[in-house]
Amino acid sequence: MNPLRALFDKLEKPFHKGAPLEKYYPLFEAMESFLFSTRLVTKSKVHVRDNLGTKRFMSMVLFALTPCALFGIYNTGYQSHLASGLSLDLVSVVLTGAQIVLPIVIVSYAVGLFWEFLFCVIRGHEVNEGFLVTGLLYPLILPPTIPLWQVAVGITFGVIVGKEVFGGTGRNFLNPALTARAFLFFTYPASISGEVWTAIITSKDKIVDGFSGATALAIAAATEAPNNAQLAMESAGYNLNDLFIGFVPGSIGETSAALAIVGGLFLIITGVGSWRTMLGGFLGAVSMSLLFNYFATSSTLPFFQLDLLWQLSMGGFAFGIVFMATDPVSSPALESSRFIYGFLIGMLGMIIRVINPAYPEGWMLAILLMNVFAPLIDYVVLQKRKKKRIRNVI
Amino acid sequence: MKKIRVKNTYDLRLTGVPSRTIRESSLGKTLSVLPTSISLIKPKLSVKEGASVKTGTPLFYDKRDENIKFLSPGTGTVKEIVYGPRRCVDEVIIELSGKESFEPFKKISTAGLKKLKQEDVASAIQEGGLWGVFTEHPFRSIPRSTTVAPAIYVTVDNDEPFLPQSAVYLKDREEDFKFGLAILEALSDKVYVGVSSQNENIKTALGASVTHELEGHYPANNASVFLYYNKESESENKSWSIKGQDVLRLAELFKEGKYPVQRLIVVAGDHAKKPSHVLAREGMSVADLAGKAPNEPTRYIAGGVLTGRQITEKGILGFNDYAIHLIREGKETDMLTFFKPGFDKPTFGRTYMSSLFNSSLFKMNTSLNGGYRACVSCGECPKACPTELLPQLLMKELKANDTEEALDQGFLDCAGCGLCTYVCPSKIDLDTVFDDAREKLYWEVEK
Repeated sequence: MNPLRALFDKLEKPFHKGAPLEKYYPLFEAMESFLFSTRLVTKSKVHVRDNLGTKRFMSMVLFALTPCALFGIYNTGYQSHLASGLSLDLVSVVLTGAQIVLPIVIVSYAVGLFWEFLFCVIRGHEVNEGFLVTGLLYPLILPPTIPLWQVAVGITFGVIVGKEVFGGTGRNFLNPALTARAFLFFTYPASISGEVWTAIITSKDKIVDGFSGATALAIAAATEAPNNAQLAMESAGYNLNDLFIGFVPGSIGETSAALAIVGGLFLIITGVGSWRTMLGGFLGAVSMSLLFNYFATSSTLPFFQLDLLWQLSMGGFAFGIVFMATDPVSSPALESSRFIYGFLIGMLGMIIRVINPAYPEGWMLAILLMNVFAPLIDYVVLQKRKKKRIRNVI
Repeated sequence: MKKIRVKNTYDLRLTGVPSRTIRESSLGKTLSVLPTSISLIKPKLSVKEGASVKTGTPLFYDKRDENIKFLSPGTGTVKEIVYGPRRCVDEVIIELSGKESFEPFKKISTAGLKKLKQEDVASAIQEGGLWGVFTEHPFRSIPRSTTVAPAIYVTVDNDEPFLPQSAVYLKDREEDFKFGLAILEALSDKVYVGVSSQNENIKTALGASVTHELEGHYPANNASVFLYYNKESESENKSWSIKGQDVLRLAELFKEGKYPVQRLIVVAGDHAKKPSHVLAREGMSVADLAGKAPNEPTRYIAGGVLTGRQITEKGILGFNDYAIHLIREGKETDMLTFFKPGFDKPTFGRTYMSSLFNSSLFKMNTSLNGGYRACVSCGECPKACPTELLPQLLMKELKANDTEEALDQGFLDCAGCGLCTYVCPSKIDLDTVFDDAREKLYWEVEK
């Protein structure tokens, strides 16, 4: 027998029913089931079961997130060194990035898991692996400049109010990671408004000349007529290529549209993320962006004129649509309503981004808003579906 | 011949496939009849302990309708009647005597059948103890003796792993089958016969008797699925169905004038010694039919692996059982499975590499392959529902006692195939939720 398995068999005893640590069995179970496949067997008439469990389901999302997370670490270090005028070689950049990002990730996981375990022990539930995803999504949508205590406060709110008060993963109606982010956004706007999102690691006087630290979105939103938003961004040093690949300041993991697309393809191929949500979101954003272009005149906001490709490459659009909007729990339940849901997110997100200067980016609010409307979309689609069937009632 | 393409089916590709050879089995000292294994009836005994019975003597009947009778599968004396909680009759044990004698029933020929009225045919079947082979939809109960079927659906093939194959039980018995269909035609105006589209031989053998071709993997040949795709109006919801092998038994009852006790079952699964077809009789024990399992944890199942009931090694073949499965209970624990590519892990979706690169059969076991979780609306179950329902929503509605909404969405179309439960990553026993709700509804309607 595997020595590790033997060790776990030994460790299990105090957690058994009637033993002193019985209450903390969920803790043990989480560790054990993380390492080993389950020993549970079927009870119902369906005697054999598929190999897909929620653990596999969630780890697929983690795999899809990995490129964005790794690039996030690199880019955070890169932006920091760039602004501080330090060397740009790979090792030192990654080290700096890891120094800034890893504490945020660790705090997110540690604090979030604490609440998760607490609720599981009280309820006597097994620990739900959904948090492994939330715990990584959340740091990736935070700016690198965020103070760690705010990370902790945010994830606490996200886990408790966004999820646990409703009964835990599967029973929440809002995306917990976005709930946590929105809480920070409205509670500590000074730290998270998108003005300066580069972690500066040198003293202020050593910052390179011309560094403003403003994100592309902040510049585009602040441009006033008759200036051109695209030119304003270009003169601040942004170009389409960098925006798409992600070498720009922004939230840790969301700057790279390219890697978000890679993750999205992985989710679609494995069938874990809904392609209808993603396609809907893409089409929604495209059509809204084109509508803005169509209605752009010299008296409208200059942001209206911004080219489609720029709109799609900048900010958190790709990341939000791929990883946030596809959260199955807070999405509508029906595949066909997921397309409508995605489309509306695409449109709304673009409206908030372009028209409302108070919010630097629209996806967080658009997705949360559509989370709330998800059951309504389901309801409407369901009524149509019912009409297609031959009724079978008593 | 109409072709029906069944949506959302799945081929489980499991090992332990029964071979096409037919093995004889020998009777033990006793036979047991299990009234509780027949769902949706209220059994009332018509024999007492010590009574001597012939093969075909009524043992019990449905309290609400005494024409629905269940007959003794053997000759001997009633040795013991085992009562369960609240005095429900769990088991009637018959000690077999050496010589078998049959209760005589009226013989009816093809010509004789034509002269009979619908109710005469029905009462001949009821006398012969085979009324229970009919299933009335949507509750899948045994129909009342006076009801007339709007339509009867005959399913010739079985694609659940594993049930007797038509190629085996129908071999050289096509004429009997056609006579059986004639009996059904005397009962109802519409008789539909569906065969699997992969089954070319049977299609030619049965010729014009076949009305529908069913295309798809499991459960394309399920009667409820067949009904769902074929019905055109609400009035057909209460159609009946019958299994192909029971059509043969009907024919046998009419031709021979005695209770047909023989049936072909399969003994299958990895832990069965030689998975094959077995000639069996209701009431035989697993020990008589399957022998001993290897010295490993084994689960015994009466019926298919997606709809059967769990029994022990002393279990009994019930009235509706056409298979005995012996499969591995649980599995060896495996490390960090959910980070591995999983070439050897069968799956419905595309989260393991087996979905791309493995076309071999997969070993059966009863592992849950995950922990119990709340529904995360992952959307797998609607993709596995042959009757185009939304199992995740139905489950939530039924758990919240909103039966009206569930009915409105078509809950009664549910075929009970168990695929939604099979694919659920949160390991929710959807089948139990649906079965309980359907049974509760039935008793509310029928009292």
